[in-house]
Amino acid sequence: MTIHNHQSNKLSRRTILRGAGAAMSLPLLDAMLSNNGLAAGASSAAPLRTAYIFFPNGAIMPEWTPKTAGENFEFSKTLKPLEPFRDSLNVISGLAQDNGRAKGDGPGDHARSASTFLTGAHPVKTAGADIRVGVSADQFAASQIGKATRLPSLEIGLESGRTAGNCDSGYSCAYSSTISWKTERTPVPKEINPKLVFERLFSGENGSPKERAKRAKYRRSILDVVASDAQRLSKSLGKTDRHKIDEYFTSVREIEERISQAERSAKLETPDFDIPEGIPRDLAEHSKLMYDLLLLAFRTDSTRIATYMLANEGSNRSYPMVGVNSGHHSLSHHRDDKDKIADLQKIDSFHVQQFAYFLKRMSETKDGNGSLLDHSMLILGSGLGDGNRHRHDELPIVLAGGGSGTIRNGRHIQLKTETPLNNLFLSMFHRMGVKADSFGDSNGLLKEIDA
Amino acid sequence: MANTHLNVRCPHCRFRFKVERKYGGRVARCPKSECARKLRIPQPQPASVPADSETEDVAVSKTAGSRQAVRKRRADADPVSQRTGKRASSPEPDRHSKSRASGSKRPVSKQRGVPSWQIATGTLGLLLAAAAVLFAPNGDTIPRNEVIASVESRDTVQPDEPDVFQEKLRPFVSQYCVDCHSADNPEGGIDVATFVTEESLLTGHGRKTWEKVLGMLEIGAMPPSDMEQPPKELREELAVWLEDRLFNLDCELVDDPGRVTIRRLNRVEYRNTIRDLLAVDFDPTDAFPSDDVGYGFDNIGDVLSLSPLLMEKYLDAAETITAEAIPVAGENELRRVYDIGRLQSRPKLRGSGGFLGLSSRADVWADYEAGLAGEYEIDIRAKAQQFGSEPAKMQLRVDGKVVRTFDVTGQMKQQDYIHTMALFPGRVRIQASFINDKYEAKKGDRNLYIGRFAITRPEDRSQLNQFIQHQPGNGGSVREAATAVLRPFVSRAFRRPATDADAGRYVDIVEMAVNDGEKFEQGIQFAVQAVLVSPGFLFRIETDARPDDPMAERPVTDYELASRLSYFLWSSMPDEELFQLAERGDLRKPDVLKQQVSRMLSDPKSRALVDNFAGQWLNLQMLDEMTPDPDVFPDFDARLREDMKRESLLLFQAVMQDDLSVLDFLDASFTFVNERLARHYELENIKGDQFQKVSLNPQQRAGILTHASILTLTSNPERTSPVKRGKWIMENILGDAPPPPPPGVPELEETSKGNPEASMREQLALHRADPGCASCHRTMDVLGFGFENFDATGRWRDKDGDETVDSSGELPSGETFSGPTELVQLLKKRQTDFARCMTEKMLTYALGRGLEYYDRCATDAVLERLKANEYRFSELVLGIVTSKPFQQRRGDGERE
Repeated sequence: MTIHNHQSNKLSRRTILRGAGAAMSLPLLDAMLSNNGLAAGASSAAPLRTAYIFFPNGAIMPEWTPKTAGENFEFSKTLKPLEPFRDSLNVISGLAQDNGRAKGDGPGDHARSASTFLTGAHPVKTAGADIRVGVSADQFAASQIGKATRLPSLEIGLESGRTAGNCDSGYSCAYSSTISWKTERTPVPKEINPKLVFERLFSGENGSPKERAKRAKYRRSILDVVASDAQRLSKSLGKTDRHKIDEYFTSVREIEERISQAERSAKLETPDFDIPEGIPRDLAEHSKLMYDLLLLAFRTDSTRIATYMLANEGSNRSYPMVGVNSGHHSLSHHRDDKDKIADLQKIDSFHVQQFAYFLKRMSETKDGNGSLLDHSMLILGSGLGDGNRHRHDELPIVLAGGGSGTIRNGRHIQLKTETPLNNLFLSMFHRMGVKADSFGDSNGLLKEIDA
Repeated sequence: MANTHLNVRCPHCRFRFKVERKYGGRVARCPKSECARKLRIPQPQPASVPADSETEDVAVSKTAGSRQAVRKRRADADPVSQRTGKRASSPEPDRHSKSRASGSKRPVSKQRGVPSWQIATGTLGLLLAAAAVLFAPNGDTIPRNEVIASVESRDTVQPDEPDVFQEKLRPFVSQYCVDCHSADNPEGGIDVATFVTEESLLTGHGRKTWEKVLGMLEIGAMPPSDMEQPPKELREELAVWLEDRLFNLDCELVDDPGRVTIRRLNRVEYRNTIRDLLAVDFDPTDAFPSDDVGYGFDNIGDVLSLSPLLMEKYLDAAETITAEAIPVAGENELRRVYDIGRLQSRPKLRGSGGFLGLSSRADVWADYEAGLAGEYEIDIRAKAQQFGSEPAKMQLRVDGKVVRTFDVTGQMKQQDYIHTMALFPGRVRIQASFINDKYEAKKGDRNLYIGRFAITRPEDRSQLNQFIQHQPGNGGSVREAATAVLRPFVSRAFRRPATDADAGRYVDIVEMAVNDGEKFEQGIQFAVQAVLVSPGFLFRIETDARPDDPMAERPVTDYELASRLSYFLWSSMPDEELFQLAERGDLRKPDVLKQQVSRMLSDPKSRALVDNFAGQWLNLQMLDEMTPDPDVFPDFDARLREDMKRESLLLFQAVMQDDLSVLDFLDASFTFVNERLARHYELENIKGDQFQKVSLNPQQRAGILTHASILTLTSNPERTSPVKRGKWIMENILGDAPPPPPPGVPELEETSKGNPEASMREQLALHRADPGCASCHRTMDVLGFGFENFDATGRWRDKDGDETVDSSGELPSGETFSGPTELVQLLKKRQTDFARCMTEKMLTYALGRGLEYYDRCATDAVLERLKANEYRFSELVLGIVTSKPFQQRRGDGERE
């Protein structure tokens, strides 16, 4: 089997699938569900999936935060689309990412809010050398439980990284174009092309078992050779260079691990899913397609941990599909201008609606003895509260999903102000079977969500 | 009485020693063995020597030099960037100073910027203790055994000059800073209490800290206005003193090439390198995640990371690329195989075991689409059941015409029957027929079995040979053939001569594949895939003998130089000529280097410098993110956006190709437009999509600052932003990026909240009323307002709404202008600033690292060269490629 043939296989499969029309649901792969990352005491046999979904520039908080706390709260204007899922979510107010604050580093709140969002660490202000913040919650969890699935984690988004200029007041663009940090020095880029997300999820799955075995065998030999190259090289490199080669080495090892994982697991049928062509021009369609792929990844248990960046932090995208022609970031400094606030609220609503679509599909997808939504924890939120003033507290956060029965839902939880967002991450870790006594700047568990 | 010796004090360790007068002005190492750092022996000052002294006391400094001292730009007397106006008496170019031994206690610091702390005085008893070592004039060490100094013991000397650090700065810090900036959790991570010696300011960490402190002191942003304020004179004096310590460099002493972190190829470099290495065009733009940007560029080693996602992409890309570059016989697109399921037959035949059975006369055919004219190979697999006197005959017809009749011999022996012939493009029917059936009941039966057809296009075999020049066989082993193929390839891929060991690991893969029954070509494919994902290919690596010793300096090797050149000017690997020059060791010869730079700049591959350097320097990619409000600017669309970028790139290209003065960027009287852009500029008689060179209306436009691209990318979606435009000019033209606003200063939005009806000018005037803002904004805003005649998409306008546009202004220097072209002329007077700015940006891009304070020496040398050569573009490039940081490297770590 040659590489060429392997590719033409892909093509022919795509053609067939295009003919087959819309996606049909895939039979549940029970074999995959036996071995999962559930915390002890969880009731379901299904694994627990976690997604961290991020939107930039904060939100119009008066339109986001429900007026009353506790149960039976009235959904706010922005959150209204989530009302059908009242019993599957909590709105959590009062969380903060203190390390997003300047702490003497001056401007750059956007870069800081994205890099802090999942790390709870204070980023080093630099345009290049010594990029450093902290390991993000998703990557930390993946390092412990990621081996259970073919992909330890999935990082997707809708906007490519900036390729010009410093992104925010002397902060490297790495800080605002990803929320996932594999190590405190290694940002994980996100995939924005739906076609490539699909290939990432299911490539290596084409061809006959014999062909796949051959491919795996040679990839492994190739990786062996280059890994030893890297080790040999390391000896004649200085400290900073060695960091880079270590990063290389780690990536090689992870791919090797993935190959082994694929060999151990039963061959996964390529799901019946219209293989995406590329990036849809329409943003709403793009966003929806990425949610579909996220669902697909969870449904096929290809991964249990994902991040999804709905735009880069500080993004100045316009949202013409909801009638907003000005840039998101320039609007976010609205100076209390009513029109701008109205536009911003429309953008917030757009993101919430898309999230509601995702929840709907998650709730409709059967998984073990319940739905995918029952067996998940899905955060929708931003690293800024009031974007106009770059506030790093009173963050807009929704936690959806039953957490496999471990979360008491249906409430607007009003926390003490300045409660670290990382407390929530820590509480989620324990549900995922991730061991940690603390994480970033956490100072305790968020017991308020406990069932 | 003539003095025979000079008293010297080491500026690093304050050790005192004396040297013969004749060594004045030379560079030496401190004789104290624990120190041994470089210092410059001051020049003696014969006219002012006290009569009773045998030795002369002279100032010695890390900062005073016989060459030009490199000063921080802002200290230059510069009407534009001199924001605070307090630099009227900037330090004199000649950094030498002296102090008389006659006991004068006058602090030298009264002469601004002149260091006072290093003055060595006192002529008390001497003790010989150690020896200073002299450096050759070019800065290289000469043998340590040239003893030039006698040394006196330290305690015999009493300094009689005020020690600014101990006597002024430390008390200042204790009084005004340490309340917030010390202890466990210092504000902003700035802990100033830990610096207890003057030397500590100049360590790597010290510099970073004190450069920030200086920035705050200069603009009066610290201490914060609600805290106790120091006397203005003291704050300014300390700012001048600090600046002198931090930025007055003696290049012979500093003399640091810096160190570049290994650089992963970015997407553009990867694509170009694959193109030049394997002649395959692989576009990774969509496949690979975007490269992170640092210091404004996407080729910075420190920033370029390698995630598992990217590693996986590299593996996939390597498969795709090798499949195209190294065709495997019988298994590539050029060879079309028709297995029996795809063959047609008459009468309709059924197959089994890969063969169609022809028991009587029958035809089997394939309709083949010949792509081009040439020799085709037709290969038909067949076997036969024999009976009778002659073998089974298989007739080959092409488009009905018999071209060959094969005897299919052997009893059911499968063989491939090959016929080579010329075909012309178009559909041809290739048909095999059984023509001599023979059957005798109970005696025998002659049957033909036809298997797959394989048709190979002519280029196929030539392509196979292109990459694989050596095949095993004829006594040669797989290993020998693979080594012969791979060793030169690995050398090119790694951009240095590969050793046997380098190539051997990849040869192993070929052997493994062939032992597994794979074709040789397939094995080579796997090996090349491995090379393409190896660190030696993906990273630009320069290895050192002492990689962690910051003092271990060396010139880069010729091969490293070749790569530095090619990735700088072409964003790709070196070509054959560069490799050959490197091999011969000729590349660094000045005339060869000059000739190569000239050759490389005129090569079409230098387009990479235009797109990647100029595009990023000017922030043109930011245009992609700009969405001017369609209600206000209905004419703006994606095509116009691309045209705008193109115009600016073409200007850069013109300056590069015609070797014009780089100053032409600022005020070129011509530009490049196509019909759409001409309409945008209200220029007539330009038709079509092609860009053409046109003259500009000198009343309205001149140079890059009046390009629609720059004017648009510095605007808000619905209106212009004078602040953004001014900031862009300061950052990218004057090279004087304003520091971030000090903490606690309200945003413009906040300032103007109280007065939402005010015009933009009034709002900004309010803003500047805050002293924390004024120091930068009084330059930034004025510059921006000068371009108010251009709307948010760069169209000319005389009115903004109902208001007549006011594009006049007065710079802090007192120079006034009315309108953009007058302002451009004022900016052109700042040619040194502009040239320095461009040099710094290009040096950053060429090196792939952020610039450090010591790189000012290199930038200065390039500037001199530019000034002496009419600012020609090629001199800028030559200045950079001959600079110390480009030509040399050192081990990792901070120098003391």
